[in-house]
Amino acid sequence: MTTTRRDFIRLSGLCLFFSASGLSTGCKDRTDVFQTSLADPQLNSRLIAIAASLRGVHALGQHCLDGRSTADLTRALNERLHETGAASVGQALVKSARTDFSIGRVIDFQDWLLSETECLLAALGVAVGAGGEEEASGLVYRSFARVSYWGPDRTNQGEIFNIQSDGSGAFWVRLDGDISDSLVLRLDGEPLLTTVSGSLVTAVVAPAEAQRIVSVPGQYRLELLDVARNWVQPLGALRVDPVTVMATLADGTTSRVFCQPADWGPRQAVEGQPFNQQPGGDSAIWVRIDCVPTDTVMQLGAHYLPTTLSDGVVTALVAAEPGLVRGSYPITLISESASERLLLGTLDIQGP
Amino acid sequence: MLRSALTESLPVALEAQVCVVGGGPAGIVTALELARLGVAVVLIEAGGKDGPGAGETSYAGSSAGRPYPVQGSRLRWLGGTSNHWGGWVRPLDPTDFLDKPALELPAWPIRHADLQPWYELADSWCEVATQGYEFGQLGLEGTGRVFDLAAGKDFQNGFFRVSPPTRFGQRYRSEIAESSALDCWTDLTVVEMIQSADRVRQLRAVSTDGAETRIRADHFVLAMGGLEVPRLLLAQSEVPGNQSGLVGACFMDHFGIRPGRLLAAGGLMYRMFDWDGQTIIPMLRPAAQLLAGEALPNACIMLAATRPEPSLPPVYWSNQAISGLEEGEAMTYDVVFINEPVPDPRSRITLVDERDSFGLPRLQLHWQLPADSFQPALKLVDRFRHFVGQEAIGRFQWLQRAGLPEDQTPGIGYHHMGTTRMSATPDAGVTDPNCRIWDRENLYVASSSLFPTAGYANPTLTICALASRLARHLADKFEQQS
Repeated sequence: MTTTRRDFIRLSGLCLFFSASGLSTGCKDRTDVFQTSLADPQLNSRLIAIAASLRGVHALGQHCLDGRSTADLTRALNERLHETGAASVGQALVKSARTDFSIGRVIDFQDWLLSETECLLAALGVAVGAGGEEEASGLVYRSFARVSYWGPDRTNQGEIFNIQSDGSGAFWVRLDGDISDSLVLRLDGEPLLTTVSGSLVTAVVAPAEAQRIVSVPGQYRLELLDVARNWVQPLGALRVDPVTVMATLADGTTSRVFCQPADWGPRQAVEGQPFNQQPGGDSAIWVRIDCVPTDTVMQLGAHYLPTTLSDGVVTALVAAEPGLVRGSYPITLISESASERLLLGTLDIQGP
Repeated sequence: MLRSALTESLPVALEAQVCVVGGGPAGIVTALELARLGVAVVLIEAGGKDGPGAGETSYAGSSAGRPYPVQGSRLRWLGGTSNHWGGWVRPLDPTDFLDKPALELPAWPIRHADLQPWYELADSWCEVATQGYEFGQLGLEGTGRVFDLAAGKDFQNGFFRVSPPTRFGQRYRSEIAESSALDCWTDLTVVEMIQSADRVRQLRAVSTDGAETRIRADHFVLAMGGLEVPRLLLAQSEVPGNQSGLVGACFMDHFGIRPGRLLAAGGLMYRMFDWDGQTIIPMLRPAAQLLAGEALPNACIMLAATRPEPSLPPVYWSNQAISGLEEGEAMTYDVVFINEPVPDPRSRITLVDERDSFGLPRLQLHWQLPADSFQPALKLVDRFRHFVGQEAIGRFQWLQRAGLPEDQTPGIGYHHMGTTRMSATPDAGVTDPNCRIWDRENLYVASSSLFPTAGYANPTLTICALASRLARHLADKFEQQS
């Protein structure tokens, strides 16, 4: 039967692994374990507990295990530690590893130069279940850098942000304090070509990619990534505002106040039947348009309609009674203050 | 005065006490130091005041041996390569001046102490604090930004200072223009040295629009850099200083390798950063006793935080049982070694038949850096990887155990050195310890081409120190004569 890591924690009577999660009440703390004397009769169980607490040892431990039993590994480690003459197990582990390097008692593990002592310890760790969990961890979102300011955070559709001489776009981030050179900026999840110089982080977006981004209005999130630590810190977003295209009026001139409508409807209805019926029974006409004057009202044929303006949408109610008879009814947005009329099209009422 | 041969009427002859050829850091420092001492100087720059002008293609050359970008990094206008210099500043180490068993030719005929006062002056020319280069003065130990390495260890902390960087042609332009003792001509290329048996009598120089002048002086200083100085010398019918065939030989550049990764405590700052009001670049370097004891080349070691390596993730080094660290994060770093090159007479500049628009033969560089020449540097890396384990400061993973194949270019510094090496005797070099070409009474060199050996440090500070020293030497000669 295999003894699990949890078993060893219990058997050793230690709580090493839980100290990080604040569950160390009543347990010997981590420091105490490392200060265990080599003469302590519980040395082997302390070693096992230390080994079981190791992180990041899965691959190495598997490599070093080499079919040896927990007892074999503990015995071998015990011998190595007593060779050091150190007072405590913590000192002995480090001293034994240092000695290994000095006298050539080393191993080559995937081109890493490591000591036999740590190889034994990692093997013991794996034998008692250490090291598996943490190694699958991915990016961690956390605030790790003090950002003074960054930019740009806004551009217009079709305008490359902070354009460089080669047509690329560029971001800059000014940080406080020591800065790692392993920082990379990410735009919408894609790493950018980043340069860290002094307290300034700059990154460029290649011309084609920058053009693609600014062609579509929206928010593109910008993040600071530390590739050495697998940390991500959100900075904000680059906002690409849509370009405002003004509408063309019936006389061919460009409106000063009405944007080009994106859409409107309905465009057809059946005589005697409500269209786009609202909760009160009235019909309604809607227009998606980014800009209108605040005094805008909608006219249907010769009738001014009760009009509501909201963000990007104009709606107007058409009373259920009397219904519209068949025919084509021009729909117009009117601003008296601007003295402009914008003809949208016609609502065609057809026979039933 | 600062004049262009393209816009001003070029006299038939220019005369001065000293003629300095080349308006980069070496030439500007030499010329201005002399002018400040009251010596009349004419300074000749082949390029323009702010750009290369029509003569830019004159630098085109070819490469044999290991590929080398001959034109890379060189700028042909006032200020020379300082116009895009990175600003790293550090003197050579004292050990760099000493003979070593691995060297076929002798090292410097002068010692670090001989240059020390000139290094302090060079600091000023490069606009860095003249506070020395002792690492301990920074107070960085114990901050977690560097390894805490006791004296006597095989590897020690060191650091580069960082110049603004000084663009010599811009920074010193007003002094050049306003100096009454200095006559600076741009857009003028020296193409011929008219010599007698042991002296240079005059230089022939031409502008890109065909105007020609003769330059007469008591002394001439060649300060055109490690490629153009030997090129001009080799282009003469009687090659000055070539009594041992060493003009153009022993070309060196600092070459970099990225031999591995290091797993160590997080937050190490072996890179440029601001500390206590100054910009510095900490690095690691082998101690003198290690180099002397094992005949290893000098090097500096930089660390750059990088992506974790899955086989041994950073959390591994956070284990107190492994690292001894009671707290704190760990990190994976790329390790970069910037290596001392070995002077090799086979590494050499020669001239080819093709000529540039001024009629000067183009150069060819045979860079002799065979794959096995990386072995001493890799041996040093091996010492380092054991060292970090012995000192319990990290773990090292090999990425490159062998030398780079000969058809590939390693990382280089574009530091052209060694091609008119300084020596104690004429058989081992081109110039004497005072930078004078051995067989010419009045011809001197101010350039990294003087370096018999090169250490790992960027050459600009040493170039400026040697130039200042040369200026003082020449001024003393005039004083003695008077």
